[in-house]
Amino acid sequence: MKIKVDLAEAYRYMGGRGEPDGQEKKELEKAAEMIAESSNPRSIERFFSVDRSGDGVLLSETELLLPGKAVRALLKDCRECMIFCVTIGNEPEMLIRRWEVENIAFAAALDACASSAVESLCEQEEKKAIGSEEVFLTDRFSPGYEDLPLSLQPDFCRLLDTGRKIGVMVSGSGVMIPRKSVTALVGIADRKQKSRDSGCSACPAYGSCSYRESGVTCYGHIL
Amino acid sequence: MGTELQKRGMPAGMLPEIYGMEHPEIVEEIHRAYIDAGSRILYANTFGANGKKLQRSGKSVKEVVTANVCSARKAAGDLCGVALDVGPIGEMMAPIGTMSFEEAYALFREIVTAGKDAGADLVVFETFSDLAEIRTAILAAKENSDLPVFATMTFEERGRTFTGCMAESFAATVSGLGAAAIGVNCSLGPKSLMPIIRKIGSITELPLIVKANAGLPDARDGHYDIDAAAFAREMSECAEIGVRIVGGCCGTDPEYIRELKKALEGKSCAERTVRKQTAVCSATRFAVSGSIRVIGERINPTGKKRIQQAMKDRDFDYVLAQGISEADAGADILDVNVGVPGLDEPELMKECVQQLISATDLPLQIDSGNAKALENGLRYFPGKAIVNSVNGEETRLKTILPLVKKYGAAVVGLTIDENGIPETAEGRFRIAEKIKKACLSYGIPEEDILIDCLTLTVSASADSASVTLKALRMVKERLGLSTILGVSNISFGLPDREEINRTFLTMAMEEGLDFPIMNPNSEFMMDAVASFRMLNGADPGCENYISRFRDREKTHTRTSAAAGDSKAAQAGAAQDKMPDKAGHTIETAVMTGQKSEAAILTKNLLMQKEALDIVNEDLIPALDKVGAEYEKGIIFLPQLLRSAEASESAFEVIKDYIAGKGEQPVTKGKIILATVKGDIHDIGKNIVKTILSNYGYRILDLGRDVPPEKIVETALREDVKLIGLSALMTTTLPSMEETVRQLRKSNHACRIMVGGAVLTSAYARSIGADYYAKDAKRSADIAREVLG
Repeated sequence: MKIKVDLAEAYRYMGGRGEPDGQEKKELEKAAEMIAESSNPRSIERFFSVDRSGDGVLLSETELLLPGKAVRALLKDCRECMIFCVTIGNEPEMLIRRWEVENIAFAAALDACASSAVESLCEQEEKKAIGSEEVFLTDRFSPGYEDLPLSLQPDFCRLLDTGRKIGVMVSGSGVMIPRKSVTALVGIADRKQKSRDSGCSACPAYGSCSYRESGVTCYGHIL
Repeated sequence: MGTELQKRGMPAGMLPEIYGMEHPEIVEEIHRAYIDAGSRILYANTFGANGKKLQRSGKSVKEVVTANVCSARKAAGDLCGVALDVGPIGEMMAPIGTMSFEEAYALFREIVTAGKDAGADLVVFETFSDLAEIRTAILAAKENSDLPVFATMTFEERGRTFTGCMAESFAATVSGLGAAAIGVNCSLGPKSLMPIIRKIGSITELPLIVKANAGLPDARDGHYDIDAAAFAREMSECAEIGVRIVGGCCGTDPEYIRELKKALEGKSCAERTVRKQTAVCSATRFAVSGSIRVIGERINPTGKKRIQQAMKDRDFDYVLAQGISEADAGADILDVNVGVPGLDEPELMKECVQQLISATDLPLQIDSGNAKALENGLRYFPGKAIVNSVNGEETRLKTILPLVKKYGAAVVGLTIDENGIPETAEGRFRIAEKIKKACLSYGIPEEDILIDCLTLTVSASADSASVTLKALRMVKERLGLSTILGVSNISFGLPDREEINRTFLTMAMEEGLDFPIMNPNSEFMMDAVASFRMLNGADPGCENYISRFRDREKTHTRTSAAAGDSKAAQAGAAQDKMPDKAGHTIETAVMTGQKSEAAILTKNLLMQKEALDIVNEDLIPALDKVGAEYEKGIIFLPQLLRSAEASESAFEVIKDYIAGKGEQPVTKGKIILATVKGDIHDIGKNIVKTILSNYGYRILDLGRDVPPEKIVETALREDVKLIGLSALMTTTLPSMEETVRQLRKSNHACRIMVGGAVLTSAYARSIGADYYAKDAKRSADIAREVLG
């Protein structure tokens, strides 16, 4: 898996608006390079049959029930789904912590680049859901999105045996360690899936978002 | 074991240890199958039987462990050894995660005690990927039982564990802890593990273990790709390498063991030669003697006012900054000394080490005259450290060497005893001999001894240099030990000290000095090391030398050692002149985020103005202007942070200046900042810390994952009027609520502000906080309102 950092996306993650100026761009490029170099990307995935007959969605081979309306709607055309976990590893975190001591502006750039790197890993990982037949994928969906509870995070990790296979664990309070890790599911359907684009209303920061206050979204739309 | 239990009907999702307790006859049957196939050590079904993993099962560690060890015992009879099998706890230790040393230790102690009581013959720690965790486990086992300990870690193909731990570091660290055998298990098939076990075997003399997987599992069906015969074939290489203990991990079954036994029948285990060398390490950094290894000396309060103040204030950011700049300048190891009179040295050493390992991976040299402080340093450093120091005095040797032995550290021996420092090289050599003898009598290997022949000033005695150098040569040639030395004493009382120091350093390196203790931020001194390494053939193609010097302007001015003392001065050291941009003030430097300019301007302004006036009339108004622009959306967070960095470098200049004059530091009041229990996100909090300290507030940063009790206790003890709490996850908001509740209950008069991406002002109100700080700028406004 290759580490790719989207500089514009990283700039937004660190609270920047518009285009980064000359010096900021150089710093972001340096940060992206350092994140790419220090990362040790790893991933793991498993496939499950989807059973929507009861309440919520059951992953057939396990006893795991995915509650809520959102995931039910997401998987309405799917007989199968892929659950995965990706991480960029521990080393970038040590790097960020070290830079917090010396230059917090650069540390913020590193942190933002690391987040962007994980996103790119997710995109690459999703492609593994496409096998030899022609299939269509739903959007990626993670515990904590809409009404899929965050408390499912340890269950996803347990199903995938992330602790042993890729060194990702969930702390007692639900933080993923290494921090720059993502668990998600993606549905595999036989027809094209509409992008859900739930927009801002699904985000926990909706009520206090400083982007929305100034008339834009964090993903670049003008309200 | 897990797969075998599943084959015999264990339902998916059930804990194997619980199932085993409920179906002992099945577990016994599995063990017997393995004995039949040729196993002689049985790993009991206790891999995940720790307090954390059993939490929701309703069963105690004691009952689960006892039941499963008994099953193994029953099957084993007199034929086999029964090992208590212990895997990782399932949570990462700090600083990577939130589990503390004490918590992990307690969990390991619990399971080891249960295993010992149940009659296990030995303890096996396997499948660990974090060096700190396996080290804690081994200490818990050694301190609570007499059972032999096996230790194996799990590696990726690249030769490191998931947390980046190198095979060499694992070998060097665990060897000294008293393990009975060491090796690798899981993750990979036999072929891929061989290079890794070879590396481990080249460093440690301990017996080796290889417990490989049956290759790699298929992503779709989980089927492993190497059959029993192929597995056995690949494992035969173990005999040539000299591995004594072999087994199969994931994907293997009794058939694999049978084939393995057949393949190794009649083969003799090769003898291993281990290269004896002095090595110290952290999980991710391995420093071995052979080429000069620089020990950075700057984390030491002796005679250094600024860092002394930082230690008194528990301003670990400053201490860390020194360590990081030493690492950047090429130090291989950091000396850590926290001996400030009047402070609790053991406690401070513990905290300092824990802080350092969160930001730098350099191995540490624990420097203290206080045995408890030394012990704390050793206990909490997750690697192999150096103890600085012992000397020829009996009591010192008797007190300290047992600690060195217990933690498997290297040790510095000073050639001084109760009679003082010998005047002759022979005299110093004799003390070195005595120290070597004492170390060996405690079982400390000779490669872990570093002799310091001590440097006295040449201005007091003309033969100071030659005595030290001769003693050094004698120690190297006749005792075969590594050597360490601080050189700067040589020039005390003379002009151009650096010139003398550097020449003496070079002479010493030629006589065999392995570990110079010096200031790595002195470019002049480090140049000598670079040249020496190259001239000594330790720099192939002269690559490092060329890249170091190629672009250097050959000026005759040198960076003096003193300039390395402050973050800001370092940045501005090379250009102590007025900037040629007309009309540039501190204000513009801060607003445009010019770090070094801000520092220079401040330095120059200090010649005309009082420090406090600069803070109040130049720095703070600049920050206010930046803050206002941020609020109006003219600039955004990246620019705010750059300005904060510039302001901070200006403030560093002021702090240095004030400390140098022995005055009280500028402070407008104390603020506690903490990320609440369970939460490890802290970049936001650290941004707030930067902004607030730039305004002159003294920040007591309690870090992340802070229990409510610690926040309350600090608030009461330090009488802090403003407390800032941060949480970045909905799951940790209850911790925030609990912290507020405890603060109110304590009746301590204070204001509480809360912040973090998931917070809203409504929530802040609902939990009883006084303020909701939506960003760093707002926190500064709140601080002004509360503290002035």
